[in-house]
Amino acid sequence: MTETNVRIVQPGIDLFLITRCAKIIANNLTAEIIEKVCNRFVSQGLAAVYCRERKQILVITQGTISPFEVKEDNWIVKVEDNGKTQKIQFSHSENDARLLAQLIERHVRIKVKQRLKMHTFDSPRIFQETKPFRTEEGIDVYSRFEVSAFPIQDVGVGISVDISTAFFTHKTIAEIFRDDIPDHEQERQQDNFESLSQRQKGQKGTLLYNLEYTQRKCYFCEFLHGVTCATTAPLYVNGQTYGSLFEYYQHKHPHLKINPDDSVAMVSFKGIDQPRPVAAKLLRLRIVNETLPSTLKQEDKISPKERCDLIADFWDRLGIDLLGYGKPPIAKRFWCPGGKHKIYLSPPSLQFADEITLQTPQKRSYTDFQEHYRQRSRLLNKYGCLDTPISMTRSVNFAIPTKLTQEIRGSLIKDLTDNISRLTRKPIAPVIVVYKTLDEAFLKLNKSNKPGVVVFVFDNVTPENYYEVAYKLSNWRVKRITLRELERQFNRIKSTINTRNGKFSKTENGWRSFIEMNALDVLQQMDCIPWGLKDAPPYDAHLAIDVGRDRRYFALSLITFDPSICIYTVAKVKYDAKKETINGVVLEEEIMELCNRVSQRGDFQTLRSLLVLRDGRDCDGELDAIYTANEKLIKQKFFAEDVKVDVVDFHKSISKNIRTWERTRENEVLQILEGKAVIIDRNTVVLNTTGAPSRYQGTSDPVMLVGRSENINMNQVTKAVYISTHLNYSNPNVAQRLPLELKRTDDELRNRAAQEIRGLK
Amino acid sequence: MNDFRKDVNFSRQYKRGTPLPDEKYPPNLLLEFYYGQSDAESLCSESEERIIKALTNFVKSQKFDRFREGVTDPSSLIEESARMKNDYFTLSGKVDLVYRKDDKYVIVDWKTGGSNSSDDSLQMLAYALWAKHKFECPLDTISLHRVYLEDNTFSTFHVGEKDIARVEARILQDLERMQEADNHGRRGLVSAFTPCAQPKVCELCQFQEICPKE
Repeated sequence: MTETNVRIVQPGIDLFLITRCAKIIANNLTAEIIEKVCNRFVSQGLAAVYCRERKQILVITQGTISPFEVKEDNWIVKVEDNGKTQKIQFSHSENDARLLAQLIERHVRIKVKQRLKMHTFDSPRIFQETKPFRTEEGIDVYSRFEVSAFPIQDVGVGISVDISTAFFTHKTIAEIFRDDIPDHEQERQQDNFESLSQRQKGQKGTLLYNLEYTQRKCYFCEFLHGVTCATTAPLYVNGQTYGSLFEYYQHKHPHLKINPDDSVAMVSFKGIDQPRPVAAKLLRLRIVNETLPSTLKQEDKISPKERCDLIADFWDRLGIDLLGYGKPPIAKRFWCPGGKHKIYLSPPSLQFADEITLQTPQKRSYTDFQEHYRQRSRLLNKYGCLDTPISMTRSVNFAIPTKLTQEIRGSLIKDLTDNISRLTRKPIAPVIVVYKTLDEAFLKLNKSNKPGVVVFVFDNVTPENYYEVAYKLSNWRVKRITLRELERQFNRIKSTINTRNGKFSKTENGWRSFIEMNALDVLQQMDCIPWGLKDAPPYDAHLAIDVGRDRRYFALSLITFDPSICIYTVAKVKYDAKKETINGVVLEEEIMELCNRVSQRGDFQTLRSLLVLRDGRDCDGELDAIYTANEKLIKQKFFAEDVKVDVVDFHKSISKNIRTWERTRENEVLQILEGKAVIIDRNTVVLNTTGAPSRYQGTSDPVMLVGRSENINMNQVTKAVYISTHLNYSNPNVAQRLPLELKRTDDELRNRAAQEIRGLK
Repeated sequence: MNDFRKDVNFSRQYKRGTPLPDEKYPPNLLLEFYYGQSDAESLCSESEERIIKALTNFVKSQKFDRFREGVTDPSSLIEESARMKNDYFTLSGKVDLVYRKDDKYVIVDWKTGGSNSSDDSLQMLAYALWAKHKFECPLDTISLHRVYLEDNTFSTFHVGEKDIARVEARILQDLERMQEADNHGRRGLVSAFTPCAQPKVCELCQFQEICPKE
C-alpha cells in the first residue's frame, strides 16, 4: 500500500472554515504589502490570507479584529475589521480550496511554534529542534521539520510534514576565533572553519544568529579582532541610534546577557546593504553536507521507516486538534492515495545494438526491475553502443600532469581506451599530452589540427583552473578527472592486488567501475548513444529549460527520439542574474538556434509534438517566448502545422515536500518501487523516478510535474518524463532522477557554477 | 572641494534639455539633481562633510605618513595610466599612486568613503596583475594598500599566484557576459535587456531616463 507523509484535514472534501474578514486600506496594494500585513497577523498568533476575488483579508479567528497599521519607508496601510464573516468551503471552488490550504498551513506553522517551541531558520515553513540529537567531532546535528498544506483534488486539504537534518558547529564564532589560545591552535580552528564552511576565497559562510526566542540566518564577513561589544562604533538600527553594540543589546535583547567585553563579528543579512556587527558568541557556522566528517556523512540519509516514525512522532507531539476545540481535526493516519490518484509505470523496452531488445519488465516487482537495470550494463558491454556518429574521432586525447606516476598513467590510458573501443566497436587510439603547467597542456593540445575529446587529469581543482580549461579549450570536449580521485581509486586496487585467485576483489571492481563510468562519460562527449527506446515515446521531442542556482547562466537541452536519439545542449550567460525568469527575447533566440542545429541533421524529421520541461519556479514570462518560437518553427517546417506543445514546470525539489513509501504491514515500511506517481490534481503529479530497487539509502525523493498548457494529459507527461529517466547513460545500474535532457542542463549548469570566481567585487 | 561645489551649483541650476557648457572640462551633472531626488541637497551636504574629513585625514593623519612620503617621492607615479595586454584581453585604468620602497612596488588606492569588510577586491588584484606585467617583478615585491580617508584606516592586500589566476579568470568571465550583452546591444534589441526594477540600484543609474523600467 502506497502511503504518503501527508495527513488530511477532516472531513476531507466537506471541509469548511468560517473566517473573519478584514479590510485593507492602501493606495497601492502590492504582494509585498500583503505579505507584511499577513505576517503582522502571524505575530498576533492569527493565520490570515488575502483573497483577491473578495478583495479582503480572511483570518482564522472567532473574535473581531483590532485595527492596526503597517508602515514602511514609502507606504502605510491600515487594516480593520469589516464586521463580516466568510465561509470558505473546499468543494466550493478551486480558489476556496487553495485559500483553505494557505490558511491551514499558516495556522499549523503558528501552532508548531507555540506547542513545540521550535525555531524557524531558512524559511517560515522549516522548523528546527532547539536541541541537537547528536554531537560528533565538534558538530551539532539537528532535526528539522518542513510543514506545507495544499489542496488534493477530490480528497481535501493535505498537510505534509517532512524531516531533514542540519549541521552546525558546536563552538560559537567567538570560541573559534578566540585569541587567548596558542597560535597553532588558533590557526587550526580557523582552518577548520574555512574548510567546514567550504568557502571559496572571499565567499561568506552561512551562520545561525541565535537570539534565543528567534533565530536568523546571516553570512560571515569577518571577525573583528580587538573589538568588543562596548568598543564598536555607534549603531543606527530602525531609526534609533545606539552608542555601541553593547548598548543595542542592552536595549533590544537584554535577555541575551551580552557583556561589554564580548567579541564581535561582522555579518551580512539578506536585504540589508551593509554588513553589521553582532556578538560573536551568538553565531554558529552552518556546515554543508559535502564537508561533513565520515562519521556524520550518513546522518542525513533517513530511511523510509525512520522517516515515517519521526514524522508520526512529530504529529504525536503536535496533536491533531490544531484548528481548535470543536473544529475539524487532522487525520490520525497518513494519506494513502486511492486508485484514481495513482499512476504505475514500468521501465520502457530498450533498444540495444544488433537489434537486441531489453523488454519492459513483465511485472512491477523489485526483482524484475533490478534485473532490467543489470541487463543494461551487460547488453551494452556485449553489443556496444546503439549509435556512434559516422564522423566520430578515432582518438582520445589524454592530458596528464607529470606528477602522475607512470603506472597509473598507463593503466588509465589503456583501460579507458580499451573500454571506449569495446563500447564503440571501433579502434580508438590514445594521444597523450604530458604537462607541467596548464599553459603547456593548452599549447600542446591546441597545436592539434582537429580538436576532439580530451580526458583532462587535474592536479589542482579550483574554479579558476576549471574555467581556464573550459575557456582555453573551448573547441574541445573535456572530460575532467581529478588527480586525487584517480590516485585514490588506483591505490586501493594496488593494495589488494593478487589477494584473490582469478576473481575480482571488491577494490578491483571499484577501479573497473571507475573506468567504466568515465568511459560512459567520454562516450557521451563523443555523441554516442548507448541505447535507445524500442517504442515511440508520448512526445517526439523534449526541450529542457533550466536556470542555474545563482541565475548567472541558463541552459537548454533538446532531445529528439525519431529516427534515432539525438540530444543537443547549450549553456548561456544570463545577464539579468537578479531574476529567475529568462528574458523572453533571449530565450526565443536560443530556442530557435538550438532547433536549427537539430534540423540540420541529415535524418531530421518534422516534429509533431514537443514536451517543454522548465525546471523551476516563477517563469510565466517565458511562455510567450516558447509560443512565439513555436510559430516561427512551424513556418520553418521544424514543427508540423498541428504540433502539440505541452509546457510543464518540473520541480526538482518539491516545495510541498511530499514523500511516499510502501507500507506492507502495520509496522513495516519499505522504499517505494520507482515509477509510482501520485496525482495531486488534474495538473499536478508527484513522480518517484527513483526508489527501489536501485536506491539503497535515504528515502525516494520524488519530482513534481505541474502542467501549464491547456488540456494537458498529465498521464502522458508523467510517462514521457519517466521514460527519459531510463536513458541513464552515465550509470546504467542505477535509476536516474532526472530525465536525460534535464540531467544534461543540470550537469552543464553545475559545471558553469564550479568555474565561477566568486567573492571578487 | 571646489570642483565638487562647482558641480553642485551647476547641477542645481541646470535646466533639462539645455546644452552642456562648451568647455574642455565642464562641471559634472549630478544625477541626484538631474532626476530630482528629494534628498539631493542633504546628500550633497553629507558628501561635502565627508570630503572635508577625508581631505583633512589625507593631509594630517599620522597613519598615512608613509603614503604621503610616497607621494613626494620624485619617482612616484601619480594617477598613472595602467594598461596591459595579453592574448585574451586588454586591461586599462588609472592607478592612484605607485612608488618604490625597500625593493617593493607600493600601490595605493585612495578611497574617500569608509572601509568595508571585504578582504578581496577585483580592482586591487587587477592592479597587481598590471604591476606584475609592467615591472616584470615577482608578486611578493608588490605591496597593495587601500586607504580609507574618511575612516582614517587602510587595508593591505596580499597577493599570490592563485589570486592572479583568479583575477584573470574573473576578467574573462566578465568579458564573456559583456560580449553576450553586446551582441544584443549592437542589434538594438532593447527588450533583450530585462529592466532591473530594484529601486535602490535604479536610483544610482545614469540611464533612468531612457529605461523602460518594467
